[in-house]
Amino acid sequence: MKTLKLILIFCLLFLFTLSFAQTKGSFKVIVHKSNSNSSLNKVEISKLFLKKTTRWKGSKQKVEPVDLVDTSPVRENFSTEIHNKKVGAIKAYWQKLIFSGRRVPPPEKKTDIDVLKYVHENTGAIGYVSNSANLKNYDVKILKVE
Amino acid sequence: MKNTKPALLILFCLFLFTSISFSQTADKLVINGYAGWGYGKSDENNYLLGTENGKYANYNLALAIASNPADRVNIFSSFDLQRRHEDNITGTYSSSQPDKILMKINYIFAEYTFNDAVRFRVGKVKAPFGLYTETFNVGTTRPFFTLPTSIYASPGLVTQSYLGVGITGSYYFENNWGFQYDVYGGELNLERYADFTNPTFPAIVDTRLPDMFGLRLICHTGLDGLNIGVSGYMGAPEFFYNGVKKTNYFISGKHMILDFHLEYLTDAISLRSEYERIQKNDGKDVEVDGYYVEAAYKLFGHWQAAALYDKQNYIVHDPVFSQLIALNPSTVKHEEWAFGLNYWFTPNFVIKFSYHMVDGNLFAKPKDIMAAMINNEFEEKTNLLLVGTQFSF
Repeated sequence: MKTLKLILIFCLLFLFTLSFAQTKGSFKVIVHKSNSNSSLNKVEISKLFLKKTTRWKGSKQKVEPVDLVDTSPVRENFSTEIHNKKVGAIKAYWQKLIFSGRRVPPPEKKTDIDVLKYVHENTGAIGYVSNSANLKNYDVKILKVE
Repeated sequence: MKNTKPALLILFCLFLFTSISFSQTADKLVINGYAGWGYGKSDENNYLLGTENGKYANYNLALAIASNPADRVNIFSSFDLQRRHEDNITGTYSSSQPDKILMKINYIFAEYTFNDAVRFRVGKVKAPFGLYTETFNVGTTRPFFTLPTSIYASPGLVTQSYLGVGITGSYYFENNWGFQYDVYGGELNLERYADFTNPTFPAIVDTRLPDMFGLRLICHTGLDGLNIGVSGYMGAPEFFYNGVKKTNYFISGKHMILDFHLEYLTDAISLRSEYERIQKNDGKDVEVDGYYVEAAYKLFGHWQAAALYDKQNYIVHDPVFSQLIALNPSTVKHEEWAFGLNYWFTPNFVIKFSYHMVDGNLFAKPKDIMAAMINNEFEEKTNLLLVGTQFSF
């Protein structure tokens, strides 16, 4: 019985550690409350952040993506999950576009609060924040990732 | 060096102006830049940045400014300062003239976006040709310090921008496939070069291609990171030898330049290849075939190993010119192997080492090219070591 209890405790501890590790850089995608879109798939979201798509479906309003800084673990996770690439590869993508006079990258914000403020102030904005970010007091909503 | 101070002054004023503007309209104006420094030492000929005695004075700086004054309007501009020979961009040709710091406007154009598939551009626009012309001097976008010479150092054929109008756009399907296109017309001012073909009449050559037409089409395949493209332009060039227009020049007929490229990029792998076909005067006078394969692999996050094979075949049909070349056949030959090792501190800051082995004197030139031409004495093999840093911000 003692052995069983120990195994159970060990399993719980393992699951707790695992869930903590997964939560560490996890994110939620946010848009302005007035945005008519409620869900998008990963490919569509990636295109918005890479400015391959520059107008919102339906409203035709300009898309204004915002990134977290490249040292953020949330950005690393977002990049891997959504773009299927590391942040370094995305940086290289932007360098090519900047210096060929095609596009400039989204602004980079240091904290979740900075991103929330940006999306709150720009109706065409899309951003991402850590799962623990508090969205209260901001005109933003979570975009479901399909 | 006489023009150094005005150039620096202009750059400083631009920087000051843009900095002030930037602070005033932070969301409307974006400033980026790139720079680099390199040391090159060769065992014989001058090639790329290197000389036999070793050369430290290779550096450049550029600012790129983008602004978004209205919803669908973007303005892009870039200014460049380089220390190099005045007579050529690649430093390939030897010259008795000392280096100068040269400033130039890379591009300055306005763009109106109708939608993602149609964007209208006008001004001095970045020339969309091949894989690298749009990022010609941006070292942080490639594994080697310099670009493959077979495609990007061809005298009188390389250009970084066109003067005129163009339409560009892109379209992406839901399954990740997509395409990007450019159609443009106007005038190309090709890079200045030194012509030593006739030892009794060495000349600095400016080439203009008025009323030219160009296009590029890139297909982004469903395999993430794999892109295939074709680009080209055509027109009848005008040659200016030492500032004087040269009439009845044997290669003045229609030029056509075609380029096919392939690129595969992942987090660790970068694989690029291009094939270029040039026909001067419909191929009756000169035909050029150039191609390269460039591969690089990132190790342990920061290190990158790279290799390059680069070759150009230059065929001249004109009888007089052919006789001159027959005396020194290595002057139309170029074959190169290069190996590199880079350390990327970040995607914006890299230190590069590379070793190049070149066969032929099409781009690797003797220190005293005039003497070599007259005496028919060319050292065909060249080894070059390059060390440098490149960064962007």
